[in-house]
Amino acid sequence: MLFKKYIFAVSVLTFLISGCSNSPSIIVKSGSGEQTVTANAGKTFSIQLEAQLSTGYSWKLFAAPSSLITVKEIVKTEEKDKTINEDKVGGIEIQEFIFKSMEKGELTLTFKYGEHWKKNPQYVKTSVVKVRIE
Amino acid sequence: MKKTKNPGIKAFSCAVLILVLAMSSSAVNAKPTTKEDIMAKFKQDKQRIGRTDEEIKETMNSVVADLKKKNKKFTVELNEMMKYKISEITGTKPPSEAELKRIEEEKRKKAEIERKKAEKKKQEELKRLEDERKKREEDINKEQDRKKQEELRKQEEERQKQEDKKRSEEAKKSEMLDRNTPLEIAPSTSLSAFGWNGSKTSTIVQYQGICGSCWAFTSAAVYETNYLLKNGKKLDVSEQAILDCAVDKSGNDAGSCDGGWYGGVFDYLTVKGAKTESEDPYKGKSGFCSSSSKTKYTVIKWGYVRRDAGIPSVKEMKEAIAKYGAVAATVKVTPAFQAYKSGIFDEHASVSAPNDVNHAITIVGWDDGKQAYLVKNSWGPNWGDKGYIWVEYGSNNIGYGAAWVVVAQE
Repeated sequence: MLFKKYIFAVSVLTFLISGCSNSPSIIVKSGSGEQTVTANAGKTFSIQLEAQLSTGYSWKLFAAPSSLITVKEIVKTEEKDKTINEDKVGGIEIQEFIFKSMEKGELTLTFKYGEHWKKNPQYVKTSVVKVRIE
Repeated sequence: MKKTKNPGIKAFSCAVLILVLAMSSSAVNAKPTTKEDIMAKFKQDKQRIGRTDEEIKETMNSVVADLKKKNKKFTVELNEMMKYKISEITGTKPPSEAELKRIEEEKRKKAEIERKKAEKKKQEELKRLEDERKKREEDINKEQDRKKQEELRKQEEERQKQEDKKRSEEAKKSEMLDRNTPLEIAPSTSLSAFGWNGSKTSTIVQYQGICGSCWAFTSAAVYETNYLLKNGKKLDVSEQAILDCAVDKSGNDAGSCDGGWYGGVFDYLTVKGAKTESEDPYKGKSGFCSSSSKTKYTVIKWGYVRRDAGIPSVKEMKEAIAKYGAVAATVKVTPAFQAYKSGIFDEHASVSAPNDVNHAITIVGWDDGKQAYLVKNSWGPNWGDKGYIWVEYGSNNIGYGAAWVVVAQE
């Protein structure tokens, strides 16, 4: 029983340490222009973009180097109050891209906002993020 | 012209006369008659009644002269019969005064009898005609009575029918205050698959554009579909009017292009009703409410399928679809959802809670074979499967905030 508690505590600690060791998330708001962020090689970093997925529009990564690994893509909807009256849909939320690069150097990531499900989508916004991997 | 006496005829006449006399004599006296008696009688009679030779001659001459005068073609001659007056030969004699009177009286009596008979017959005929008329009248009256009775019976039947119809309509109306789908078209929840997506049970898929007005489009789609099911008429509700005008029962904006909630829209439609697309076309951005006058397209009542607005069970959702038609609900949209083309969407994305949803949609059917709901989206008919998507039960919090709406009846 004691052993089990010990294992659980170690796991939580490892998770916290590894979490803290990751590069911080970079929030890129639309219209904020080109941004430069720093990340550590071998560690994950995330880029968060404001989006309204309920419109059918979303961000999509274009032109990324092959050394970059997309770990995960998440849509974070803002926290809601649990009461019904506070429910709201169709608002602005965060589309988060989590990457990891094993190589050091500078990367340029281009994101485009549009209806990607269309054959010839019109992109209404573009975000360019420069990432320096140390 | 020749005047001859035919001895044969003379003899024959005598014989006949003798015979007649003999017979009459025997009949009257009933005593034997001799030949001498007869001959004497004959002689006597002959002398008594016969014409003289002079008279015969005169008659003959008169006849001949008359024939000549009249230019007749036949010939005449003297014979035994000329001795007798015509009345003696033929036995004709004018009746006596008394006889005439008697005959007259007889005639009169006979005429009287005939007249009476005729009168009686006439009376009988009149009576018969009167009886017939009465009978006809009676028949007519009977027929009229029968027709009247029939008419009354029919009127009663019609009145009964109208009352039944009225009662049925009132019952239906009362029933329809609590539902949208008439019982005759409402599906059984035991059906393995059903959808309000046919040409007569659905309206077109709309396109919301870049504005976060899914909540307005869902409320409009739910209203349109249910109005069609209830009233059999297609309606195009103005999403722009909802976007610009809708406020919840507390007076707060139901939403904007930065999101909103259809509950507030249903509150608003209960009070003010929906406008039509032609009255206020969609612009894809928020604006000012042009007019908030009341319309006839109101909501009678609405509610959440689950009291707490949580995700209903499949059974609860089916019951709501069967009874109310299209159901407003939400789902968590992801890039994978956006990329859906066909098949069953079964992403089961990571969600923080049952209310971790970001998009309002309209649930219009189910398929137990697919284990999925049929969902109508608001990204136009070119998205997904002609604007629709099959979302697996339980996937991406599908169904959270599911709400039914009872629309007005025309």
